[in-house]
Amino acid sequence: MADFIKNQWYVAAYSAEVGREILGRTVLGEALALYRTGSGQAVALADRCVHRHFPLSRSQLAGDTIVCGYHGFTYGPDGRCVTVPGQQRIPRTARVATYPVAERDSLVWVWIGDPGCADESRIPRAPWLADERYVTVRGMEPLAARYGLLVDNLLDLSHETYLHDGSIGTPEVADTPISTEVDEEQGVVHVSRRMSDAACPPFYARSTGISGRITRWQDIEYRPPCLYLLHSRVAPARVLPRPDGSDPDGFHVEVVYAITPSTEHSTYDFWAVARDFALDDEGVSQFLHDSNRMVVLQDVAALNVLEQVISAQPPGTQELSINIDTGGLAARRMLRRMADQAAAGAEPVPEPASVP
Amino acid sequence: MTGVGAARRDDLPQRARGPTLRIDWRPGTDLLRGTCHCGAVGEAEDPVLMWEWLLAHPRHTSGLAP
Repeated sequence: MADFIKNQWYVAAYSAEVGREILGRTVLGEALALYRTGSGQAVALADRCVHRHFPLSRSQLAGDTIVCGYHGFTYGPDGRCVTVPGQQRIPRTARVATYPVAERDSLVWVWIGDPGCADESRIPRAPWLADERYVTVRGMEPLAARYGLLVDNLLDLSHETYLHDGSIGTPEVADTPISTEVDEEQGVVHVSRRMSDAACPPFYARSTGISGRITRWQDIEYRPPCLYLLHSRVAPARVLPRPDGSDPDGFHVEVVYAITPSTEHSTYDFWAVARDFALDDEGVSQFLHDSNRMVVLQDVAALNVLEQVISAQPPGTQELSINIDTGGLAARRMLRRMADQAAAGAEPVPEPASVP
Repeated sequence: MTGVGAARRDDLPQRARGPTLRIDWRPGTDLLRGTCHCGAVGEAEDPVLMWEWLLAHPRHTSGLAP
């Protein structure tokens, strides 16, 4: 049984993915059927007909109801069965589970745990994804690996130098010391890497037009378990924000990942890149989409291999951690604490203590 | 081409920051410097030991402390 942290919000889909076709996704091992009612409300039902367990995601909508594609059991958005084939009596147990759903920032969040604890105010935010001052490209790649491997990957960006050389990696990334900060009350891990005089990788050279060396800031804000934000600032070398806090000479890219465990050994890797420059340049959008997708697929290939290696090892096989892992260790400890609290039946409110 | 400097984290609902634990990798060295929310400061060359020292609050008693 996977050590899932259930009483938390997870991204199940982009808003644009949930419509009048039923979408099947598995979150924390729970198969979901997602769709949108005629009034625009996104809903999530258990993706199994109570009758013979046919996937409702392989069925059809009739108005706001799902008609099972096997024998016609029909369910409303509240999960209640409203029609069964050939008879008048609807068995009392004929209903499927529903899951709390909330949409924020173009993301569809779902709550798999105790519905009574589903507090929408606790959904972490990524406002750039739905802000007209930004242009966003996005995608989702399935990962055949446990979600913790993606957390490790994203909390330690020194791997860019080696795994993503030629796109976002330069020598300075691995060579620059990091600062790590854990906010105990809010449950956030911050990892900051500030490069003052770095080579400009193609990802930024082609999108910003900067030809020389750059000042490059990578400020990670991880809100476990699901949301990862990379606040990236790029500017010509030694060009800093102005004393008043404005930053007209900087290029800002908000890289957002939603790390959603699907099963014990698979993960949805939602990724988005929002920028505040070249807003009307479709060529830049296409370039950033293709480049970031390539980067994500490089991560996916590496982590899929790593999953196979780790799965074949005895549990507890020793690792080695060095300075670059300081942020990743903090994230691991926070996730472990949340999992322990969940296993102990602790309520998720107030915010989980987040000491690493 | 220049960035337009759009607002960034200012867009978010402002949440009060709580007590923090901090580890800075001192530039030019392999040393990590840990700062507890109580103000205690310690140094180590191993992030696992550094976190353990911080998490020992309020008993920062290991040999890591300066």
